[in-house]
Amino acid sequence: MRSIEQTNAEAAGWLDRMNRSAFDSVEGARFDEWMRADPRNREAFAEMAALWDDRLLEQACVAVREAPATERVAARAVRRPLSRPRRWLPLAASAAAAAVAALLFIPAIPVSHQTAPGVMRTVALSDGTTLSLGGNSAVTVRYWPWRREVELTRGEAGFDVSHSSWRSFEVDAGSVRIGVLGTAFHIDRLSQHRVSVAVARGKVRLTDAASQLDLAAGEAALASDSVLRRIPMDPEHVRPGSEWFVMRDAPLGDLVAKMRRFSDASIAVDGTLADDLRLTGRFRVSATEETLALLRKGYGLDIARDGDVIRIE
Amino acid sequence: MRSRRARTHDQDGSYGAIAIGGGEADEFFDWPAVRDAIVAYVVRRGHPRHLAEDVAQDTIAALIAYTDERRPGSIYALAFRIAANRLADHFRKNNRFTGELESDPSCEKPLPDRVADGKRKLAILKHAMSAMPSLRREVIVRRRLENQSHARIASDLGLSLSSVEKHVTRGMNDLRKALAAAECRDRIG
Repeated sequence: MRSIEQTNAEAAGWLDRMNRSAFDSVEGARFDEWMRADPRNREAFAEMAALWDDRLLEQACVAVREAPATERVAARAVRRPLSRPRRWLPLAASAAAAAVAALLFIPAIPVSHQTAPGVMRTVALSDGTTLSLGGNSAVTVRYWPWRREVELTRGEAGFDVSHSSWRSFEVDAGSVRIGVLGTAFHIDRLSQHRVSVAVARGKVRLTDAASQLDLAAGEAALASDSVLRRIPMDPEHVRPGSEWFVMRDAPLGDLVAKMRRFSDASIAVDGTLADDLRLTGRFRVSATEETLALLRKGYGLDIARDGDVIRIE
Repeated sequence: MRSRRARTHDQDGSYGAIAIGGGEADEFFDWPAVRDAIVAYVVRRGHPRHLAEDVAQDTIAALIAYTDERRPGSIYALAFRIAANRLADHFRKNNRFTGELESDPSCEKPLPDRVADGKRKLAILKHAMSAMPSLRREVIVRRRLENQSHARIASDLGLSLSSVEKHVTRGMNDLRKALAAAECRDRIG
């Protein structure tokens, strides 16, 4: 008969193995077998996992980390000197967060999709969700068994999310997160701090640093400078790659962001001008020259060309 | 759904077999045992039993839905991962307005054999960490706090992979023993 000591050591060993990226299906099957073999194994494992996941253990680790260096690691075994800059100290918080997520045993390999300016693309994801990318846009998709996450790193995308009551679907659009169950919606990341969201079907919840806003079908919102507010929904809002862009007292920066989805030349605009000049109207953003001409004539802006760069001044 | 119900379930842990993944003959799984293990985990995390049962129920539902589509590498590993995730979600939701952490508003009286006081538990863990041989402590901190790989730890500290493994399992056991001893004292005291 095995001793309690041995059971506990095995439980610790399995927990540690599970926290490693190399935990594969062969080991997984062996672990299941071990857990099934004896209720004492399950009890020991539950105890060990609860201890390891405890936030207090994290705090205890931080506390001993901060103890005087003389109390720390025995110098004899150190090959790489510990006196090198402790870059990890400011990273402690994020590292701790990673440790909390350490039980992740099925690696969610991020998959990226992107488009060139003027190119539209539809991507079918493994769960039946469809993603329509606008021009000059990029997403990174991470799927875990318990969670689906898409990061909209650039541009705009439409989502038709396959419903799953237990597996959440979240989109990270920089300053705002959009959580859904099963629905169709469109997100436009106009800049780091301006994101528009429009819902075609179902319901979504927007969360930014300070607040939350629920959007139902037919509603749209703009997340801008830590404020979530509703905006009227235009048909263009729910169609990625729409050639037209409707503006109602919106900053020039939004228009430029939209034009970048189609233009091969990069478009530069001064930050203050991009924020301060408010425009109203319907612009054909797919036609770069036409829109630039309109800006020159209608708003008295200077358009300068510098090789592959267009400057708006 | 009917085919995945438990056919038998003995209290002693020998399991009632349940077919999953379309009922292939070799794919049997004991959901009640998984459920009990999750309940034990959540209670050990210091939460009331009713919450533990909710989390376990939720976890099993998620697992069954997941195994409908494919076979995970390990059902138990996935179960613990989902449960930890659900628990974190639960507290995120409940603490949105209070800003408090790890305090369950519906908290019942802690079980008598648990080191329930957070401050005291932290003191015990800190003490156990300081009492460890310094190398073991360093390995534990790197694993838990920084989630460093065994390979990285081995190369940084000039250890073999198997000794890193040993340090981790022994360190975990030191911590477990320290908590168990305190619980034992609580019971007697």
